[in-house]
Amino acid sequence: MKDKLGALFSSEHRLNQAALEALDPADREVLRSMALGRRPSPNRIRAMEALAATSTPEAPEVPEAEVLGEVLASESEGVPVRASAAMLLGQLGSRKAEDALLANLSMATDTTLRARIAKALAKVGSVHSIRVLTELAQDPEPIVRSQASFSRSVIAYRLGLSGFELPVPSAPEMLEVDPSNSLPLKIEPASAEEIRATLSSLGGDTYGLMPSEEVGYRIECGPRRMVLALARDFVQRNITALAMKRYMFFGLIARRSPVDGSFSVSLLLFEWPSDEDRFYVAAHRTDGKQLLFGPGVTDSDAATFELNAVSGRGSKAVLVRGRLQGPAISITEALCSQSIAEQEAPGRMPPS
Amino acid sequence: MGYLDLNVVYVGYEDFAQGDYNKVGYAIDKYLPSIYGKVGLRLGAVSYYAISNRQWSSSIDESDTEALTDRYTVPDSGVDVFVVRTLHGAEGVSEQNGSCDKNSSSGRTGVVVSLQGDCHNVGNTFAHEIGHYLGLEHCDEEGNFMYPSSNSYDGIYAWQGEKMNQHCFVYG
Repeated sequence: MKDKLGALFSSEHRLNQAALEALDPADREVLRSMALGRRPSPNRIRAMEALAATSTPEAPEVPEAEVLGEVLASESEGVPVRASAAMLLGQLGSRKAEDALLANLSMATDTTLRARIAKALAKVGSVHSIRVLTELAQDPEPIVRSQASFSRSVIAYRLGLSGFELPVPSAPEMLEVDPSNSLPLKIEPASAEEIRATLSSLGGDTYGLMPSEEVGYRIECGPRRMVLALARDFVQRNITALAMKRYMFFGLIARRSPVDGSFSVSLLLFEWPSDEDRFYVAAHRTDGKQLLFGPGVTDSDAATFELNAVSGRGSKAVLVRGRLQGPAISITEALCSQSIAEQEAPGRMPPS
Repeated sequence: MGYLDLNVVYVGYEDFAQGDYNKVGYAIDKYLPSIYGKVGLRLGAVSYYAISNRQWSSSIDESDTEALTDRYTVPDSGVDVFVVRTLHGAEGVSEQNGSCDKNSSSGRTGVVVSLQGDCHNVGNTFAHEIGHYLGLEHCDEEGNFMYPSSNSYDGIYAWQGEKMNQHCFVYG
């Protein structure tokens, strides 16, 4: 048991997948003790991560939601441990996990903790979370307000609800691509194998999206590699007839690590109706920052769209023009900037 | 003999306790010199910066790390090392052979490390991730600090030092 857990915890990057798969019920009991702090260990958070990573719909996940909920609720614990428990509850994706997050939100006095609970609710929240997040969108702290507002929209779009629209930026807020300082943005259909490998790497941590395992796209911008995963119902329905008139969280973009080839969710993709035959498309970072936005127009059996980057510190100019027909996306022009438009220097460390 | 400047940026600094600063101090003052010194790489100027937790959380996901290094940069020729309390998905992340153009959009333009584990774990995370940024891949041999499951390994080969010393951020 010790060797297995040693192998599990010693990974510099992702948790050792072979060690995760080798865990038996006795190992999981040890992990639960570590997570609850009953067995002191410097690997406590990794133990919590391992519990969440191996919790599947087929496995009894109730103990994991209860364990993580107990850690989150414990006011004697430090904020980092509690914040980790909150994020991992989001990863479990169950009603019990949502209940634990909501129960602890009202008692969370720390800014970081409130923001993390709000972010976790984006992954696991149901209509029950929308009211609570609406209240939290009035929080005195900007980082909590913005996360709560965004998480509420993620849930609403996932459920197809109107009334929680994402921002529509004005023209001056959009970044223009400089073709002389840009690279081609390659967007091509990905193989089913590539899509499944990406989804396997994400381990079900898809913000509640049910992704298609057959239809997706590979995206390359210079050395950066990403995969666009699309929601099953987006792929299976006639999107130009139905989906463009709906509020939808229709996909996500996962970025590939150049070091170990693992994937993590980078952007969440949304679309919603504008008027008549028009719609909007937006891509947001998981903390809510809107990175890409653009309009689309439907015609008889297809839709065209254009995405540009939204300005802000850390933004990079991007242009994507394309066409949707059935589940297929074809790109007519795509560029990504080689440089970041605006950055910020951190301040010097304050004296202690 | 090569020198490397570091910019240590505490992310969500209000959430850090004395024990956290001790871990970073151990990494900078003891662990990095003990490994890198074997191959003729020394730390030059080490500067300390802070980002408020009202701007960026001290507990982040791997998916947040590129946005963090895109938004923040210290405009000099040192490697930016963003320190967070917890990082979901990994103990640290970095590009391999990171860019010396911190304005580049080609990937993370800094290293992100967490403080998970004890002092030795954290020291190794610093050395390992900075090693990636300076051009090193994982090494298949246990005991080497670039082994994928490196825990607190401190072995280093001369060729790894040669590669790191060739990085554009290393001078002298």
